[in-house]
Amino acid sequence: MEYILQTQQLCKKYGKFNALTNLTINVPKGAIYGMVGRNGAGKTTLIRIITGLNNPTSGEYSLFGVKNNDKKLLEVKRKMGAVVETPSLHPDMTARDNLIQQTKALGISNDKIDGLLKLVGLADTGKKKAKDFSLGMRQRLGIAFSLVGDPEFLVLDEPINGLDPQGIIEVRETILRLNQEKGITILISSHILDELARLATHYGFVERGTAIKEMSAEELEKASRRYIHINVNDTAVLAEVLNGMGAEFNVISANEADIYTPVQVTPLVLALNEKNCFVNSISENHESLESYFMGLVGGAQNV
Amino acid sequence: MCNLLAEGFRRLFKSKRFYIVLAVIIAIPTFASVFIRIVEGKALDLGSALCFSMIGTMTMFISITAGLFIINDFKNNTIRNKIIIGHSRTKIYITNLIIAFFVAFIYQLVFWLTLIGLCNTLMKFDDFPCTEIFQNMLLTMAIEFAFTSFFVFLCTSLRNTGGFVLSLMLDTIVNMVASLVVMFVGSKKLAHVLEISVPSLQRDDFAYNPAYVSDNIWWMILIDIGICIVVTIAGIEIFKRADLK
Repeated sequence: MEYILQTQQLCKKYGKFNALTNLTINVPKGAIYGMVGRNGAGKTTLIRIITGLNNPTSGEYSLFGVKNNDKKLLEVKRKMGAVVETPSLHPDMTARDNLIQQTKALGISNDKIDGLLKLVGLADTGKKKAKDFSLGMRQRLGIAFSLVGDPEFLVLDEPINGLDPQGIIEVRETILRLNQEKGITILISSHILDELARLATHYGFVERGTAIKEMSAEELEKASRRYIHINVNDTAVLAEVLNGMGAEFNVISANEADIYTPVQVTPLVLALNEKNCFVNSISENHESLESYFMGLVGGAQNV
Repeated sequence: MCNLLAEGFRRLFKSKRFYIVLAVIIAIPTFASVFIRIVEGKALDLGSALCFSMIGTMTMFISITAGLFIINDFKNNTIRNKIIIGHSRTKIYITNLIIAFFVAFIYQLVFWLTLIGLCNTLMKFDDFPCTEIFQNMLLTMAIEFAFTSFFVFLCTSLRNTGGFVLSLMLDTIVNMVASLVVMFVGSKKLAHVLEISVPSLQRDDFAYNPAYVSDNIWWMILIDIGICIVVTIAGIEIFKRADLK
């Protein structure tokens, strides 16, 4: 498999604090690689290192097969675009002027600017300056900024932070379109795991500066536990019956519960019926990315 | 490097600050001449005397434009956009230095041109044009470039408003400290060395005596060039090792 980004035993220390400890990840070409981890896990530190904003303390990484200590790295970085945390914009310039700045820095023509502004939904902003933009508009302009150089690899750090539902849908669709239509490899970190689950083809789980697991979306689906979501008129009775069957379950409310142990539905319904507990609905589901991550890091909070 | 210069100069020319400071530089000698003309009622021979009277203030003007030009790049995090697409930090630093030198050169040139223009109308030149004044003009540019390289160093190394404030006050701080050292230092030789090597003291001899040329003028210019080189190398090395936000 061809990889766009590979890190090996990457370490980063800020004073005595280890932000990254032997972090190793592999981002395959053409993937949307979702980086999952709680606050302070090291996601942004990793992004800062691969974008060249921070220097690693030890370890190495390669971009497009070029190692970080190779002088050619600066050349291949032209094939990269990134939005790190907050978008980096010139506040006193319009959206168009902002993008022209980036074309100047890249030494390319301004031809694609209108198309980019249209792509991110900022074609009608006219003379409005970036400092007067809403957070969502800034975020989208930041993405447009990262796309000016026609990148083959896009790094997005929390791209949907602060966006309204409409904005989230727009950014999601833009990311999917860039990946599917232009074949851009995307590394994305987000706290909103449900949103990440809709996009990612691969996952890297980061905890305390270390990548604890990497897997594809298919592997995650296989690894995720299946469970039965059941709605009854009395979960107290349901709990009694399930305890009797030795099943693992979780009562969500007075009427809802999730059953993790595979059980046959008919005997369960009959057993409940005998105790005057009626089943309103029953469905089979997969464990969410969030639940999987919680299981992986031991039920940690503040994801 | 050309791309970085194109990006940088576009940003400089798009900022109102560059033009506002330029307008102030033109306004100061203009208002001074008008005032003197009104008070005295005739054109005085003040052109030469005013030629170098504003070096200290000029370094402040340069730091307002060039310092904030650099600081804003860090404050808005727009420096990231250049690093992410593979521009080396050395080239980014040198680009900022070239733009800051350009600002220094343009501001000083505009000041002198304004003065020449005024001396043909509201005032008179006594000694100008003469070789001595041209030599002192060259030294003035060297002194301002030395200061400018320090501004770039401070703003790039500190990357915050503190760096800008230090740049703004640099001439005053250096002048104050160096004057005190010269005053209290026992050795006359050491005092002389300081007068030759500290940019803030180099101008003392000719600031209000424009036709006076120091015997050590070429040493002073060489020292100023040396300061530019050493400070730039140090600044680049610090910037290369820095972790950016």
